[in-house]
Amino acid sequence: MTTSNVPFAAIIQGRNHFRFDEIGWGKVLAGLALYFVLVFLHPYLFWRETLFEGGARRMSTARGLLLAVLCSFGLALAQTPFPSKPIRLIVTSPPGGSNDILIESSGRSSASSSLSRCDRQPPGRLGLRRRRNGGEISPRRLYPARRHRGHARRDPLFSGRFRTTRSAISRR
Amino acid sequence: MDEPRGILRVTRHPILWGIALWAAVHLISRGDTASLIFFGGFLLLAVSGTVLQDRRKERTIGVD
Repeated sequence: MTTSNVPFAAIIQGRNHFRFDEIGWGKVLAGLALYFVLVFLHPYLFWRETLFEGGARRMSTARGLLLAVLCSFGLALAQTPFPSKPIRLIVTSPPGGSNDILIESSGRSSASSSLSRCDRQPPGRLGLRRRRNGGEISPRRLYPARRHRGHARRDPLFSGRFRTTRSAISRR
Repeated sequence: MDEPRGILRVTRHPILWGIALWAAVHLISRGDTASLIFFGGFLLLAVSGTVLQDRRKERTIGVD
């Protein structure tokens, strides 16, 4: 048996060894933050003083705020990095032009810092519509060969080829 | 079975020991009857819980 019921018993007996890197500073700081917050709020939450005999009440507002800010660092460190899974950024602006340059360059720079990827939206107006058939898109809808005049009347968003100026970030 | 990692290297029952420590410290700081019943109950439940859980695991899956 490599673990023990009584804390540190297995480590003292040499059946296991302590690894601080498996616990991490984030959890320790988050625990300390929670401790200080509870000590600070103890008289207000439980109507009883702590062991410090009113020390929390004598604490000034400025010191309390400073303590809260310091405690927030620990909580921030305990969070998992965002995004926790790769995201796909889709550039929806038409090729060329200032919008396209800005969106694509910022998208690629943010995608390079993680496993995310930055793609250009296929031509057409699909990004503006809700996907049907579980995301399956027919080639006819992806690359429409020709638009007839009646279509433009039915769809006010479509007024020309590649006229999709709305940006979208799609999370997959 | 995978090697235990993190806080499990220290103890098999980190939550119960946390509750036990909390209850014990509160028992020390407050000695009235109500606190004795309240925190003493938590302390008893936590400490006995570690032993009872170990016994149940030993019975069902044996010693690891």
